[in-house]
Amino acid sequence: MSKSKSYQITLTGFWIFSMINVASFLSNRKWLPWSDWINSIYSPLYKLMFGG
Amino acid sequence: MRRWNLIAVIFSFIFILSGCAGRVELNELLIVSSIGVDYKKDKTIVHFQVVNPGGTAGGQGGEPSGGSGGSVYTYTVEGETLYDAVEKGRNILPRQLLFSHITSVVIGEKYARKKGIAPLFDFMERNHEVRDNIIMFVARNSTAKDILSIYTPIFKNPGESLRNRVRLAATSTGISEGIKEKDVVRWRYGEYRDPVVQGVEIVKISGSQDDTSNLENIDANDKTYRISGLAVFKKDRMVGWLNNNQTRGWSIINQKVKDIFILSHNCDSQKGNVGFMVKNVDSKTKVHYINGKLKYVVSVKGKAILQEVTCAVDVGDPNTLLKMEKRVNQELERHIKNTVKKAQEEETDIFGFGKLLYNKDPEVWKGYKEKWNEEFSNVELETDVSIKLESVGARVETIHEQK
Amino acid sequence: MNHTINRWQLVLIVISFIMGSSLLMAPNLTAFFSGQDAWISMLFAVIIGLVLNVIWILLLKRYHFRSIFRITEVAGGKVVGTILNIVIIFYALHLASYVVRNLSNFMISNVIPESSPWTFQIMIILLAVYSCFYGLNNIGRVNEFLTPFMILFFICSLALTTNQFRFSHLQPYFEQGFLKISQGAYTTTGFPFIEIILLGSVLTYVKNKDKLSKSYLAGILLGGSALILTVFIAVGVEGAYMVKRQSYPTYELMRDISIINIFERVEVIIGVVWIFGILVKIVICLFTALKGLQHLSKSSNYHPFLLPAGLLIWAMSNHIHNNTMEFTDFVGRNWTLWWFTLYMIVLLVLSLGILRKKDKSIDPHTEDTFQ
Repeated sequence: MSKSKSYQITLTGFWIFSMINVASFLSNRKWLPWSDWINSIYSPLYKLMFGG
Repeated sequence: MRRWNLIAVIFSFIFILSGCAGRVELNELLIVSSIGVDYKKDKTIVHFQVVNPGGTAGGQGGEPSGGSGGSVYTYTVEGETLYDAVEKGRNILPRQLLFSHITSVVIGEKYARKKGIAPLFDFMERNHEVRDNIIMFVARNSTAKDILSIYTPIFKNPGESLRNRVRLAATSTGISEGIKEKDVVRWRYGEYRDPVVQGVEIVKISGSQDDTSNLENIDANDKTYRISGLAVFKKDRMVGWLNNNQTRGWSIINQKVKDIFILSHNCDSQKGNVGFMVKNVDSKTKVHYINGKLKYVVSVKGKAILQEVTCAVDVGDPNTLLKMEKRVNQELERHIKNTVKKAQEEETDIFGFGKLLYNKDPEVWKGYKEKWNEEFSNVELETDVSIKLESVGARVETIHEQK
Repeated sequence: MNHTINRWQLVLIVISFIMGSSLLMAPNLTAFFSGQDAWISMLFAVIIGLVLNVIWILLLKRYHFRSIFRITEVAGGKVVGTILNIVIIFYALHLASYVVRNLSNFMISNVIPESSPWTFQIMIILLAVYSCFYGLNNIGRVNEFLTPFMILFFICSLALTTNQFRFSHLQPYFEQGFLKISQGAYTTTGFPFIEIILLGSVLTYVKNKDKLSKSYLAGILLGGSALILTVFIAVGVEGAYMVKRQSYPTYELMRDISIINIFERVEVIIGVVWIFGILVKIVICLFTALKGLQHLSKSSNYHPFLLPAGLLIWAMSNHIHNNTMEFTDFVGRNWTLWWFTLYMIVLLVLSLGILRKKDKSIDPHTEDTFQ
């Protein structure tokens, strides 16, 4: 079975990404605060639509 | 293959054993069957009536058989709030309290008048074990402690007995299901209306009610309660009582009635009574807003069945029956009008008239909302009761016709 | 790994996906804004959701229902397609972690507060990973077997509460005003009716694609009607004020079931229905993510990605929010817009692809065995 280049890259990348998440969760640091980012984009829009 | 078997075993252990997370064994639990709340010098006294598992198994009444002690015990704890008392209770209770099986909450009259019922609800709603369909009572002219320290015969669990009593008393009080905690919360906070709570009192006070040996005594009146009247609250503080007739008026307006018993007093100007059971009572309240005035029309329908005649009337005569029907209608009308008058005197909207107006016409309601309690006492009431006499029972002619 | 499912299984998967996790949340999310008109909000949400999905399914039909990851690559080209695929994978994993968190929130606030949320999170993720290990056909068949029972439980439970139903709790109708009603509808449109576009990765495995769009939309309609019914009955039985304040109104509603004092305390049944729906939802999200990763890596299977995906979902479900209130507030505010963004982007790429006549380049007759 040929372990192609794209396979290597995707698998390594995905492992790194999930390990960063796990580490940030276990060490209780917010390295990737997804919800804060999403909130900062959409909250103004929501306020515009329904007024807070 | 061997490796896979091992992994399978480990995984099945994970799945099976995780069911044990946060487990509490049955013999570590103390099942609370009722809670009582009393007021004493700005403190909340909480009573937990707990079930004694040994005492409830087999035998009659609270009589111990095999197990030891009575069927229930009542612990009393003092605290600032309800939850404070629950936590302080851990110091004196032998096991962990389990609130899932509470059947009733009894509030001392003094507590209801001085502190109001509002401080109780948040804990009861927030706690995941307490159900919101527990029945509420106010201990009439007494404390919750008195109500919760009686051993009752037949039913080993006084709390359960209390709940059962509500259902049995339905034909005289009209309230077929008891007033539940969620009803009170919804009325008070969600529907612009003042709550009512059923009253309970001890039938006959005697010294040894809190002793199982009292169960040996044949006189049963000193070990039972009476469901009587309705405690009327203004906002969340108790202001007064509705008597039994007014209670029936309340329950008819609020569609709580299934069957109700009516005793008519005037019997063609003779001495004697006529008793009816009114079944399938269906009431409807409508609000009319005409020329800036509010008028409420309560219409009641139902079927009456003759139960008893103690005067000489000709039951076989259709005209007499029509007269009787009229009596029943008048009697019910009187109940309803009295109740509304009493509520208007107290300025408490215990019928949800405000909510009715809101349902029908939210715009008009906005004008009344601010001072509804005063406006409520001025609304006009009209009743339209039409009970049909359906059956006279197993006999036609009464013995009283035989002079 | 056998991935084929039939149309009936697809309908049931759609129903489970819609009812899972929304079943307990929908009454609160709508009634919080629109009070006694919550069911109207829910009705609007279902209508909007249906319209969005009709457009979606029509677009997919032009591409012969190929895997969504393949379509984006064909329609948008290599670079845009790959970026979009990564975004979709992230959305799927993110959704899975929210659903897991939703489950553990429910368990520790209403069922077993003594327990640790990790227990439930790890258990459900293990189950989902195990399901995905055996492929889509596996969950399709499990779902086919269990969903009818779940629907039966659900209908019975609702029917048992109707003796306490009062129309006066729903009056006055339309009193809340259009803004409030649409605000209630807004929260429930994204969750679950836009989330379901993730099924774009599943549709390609349906045998016999003739009436596929009809089945898909029928599933959405059925699931949506179940939600409308739930909201309608929850508000009619409890009153808007109570529903508004409860974290899981449907569960509280079932606690009130009381038939002649014997048939009581059966609310955990609805909990089971809900958890099963949640399992299906997590499996579909995980499956979509895995398929996307498999597509990116051009690998023949997705097994190497199972472990990191499971870990990622677990970690994300814990560190996205600190507490349950933050979670609910976030979902209420941003969820629909967040998903609508993805919907619009994919829609844009796909329609541009059609304008550029890229859809003709997909061969409708070859099977996606490796995609």
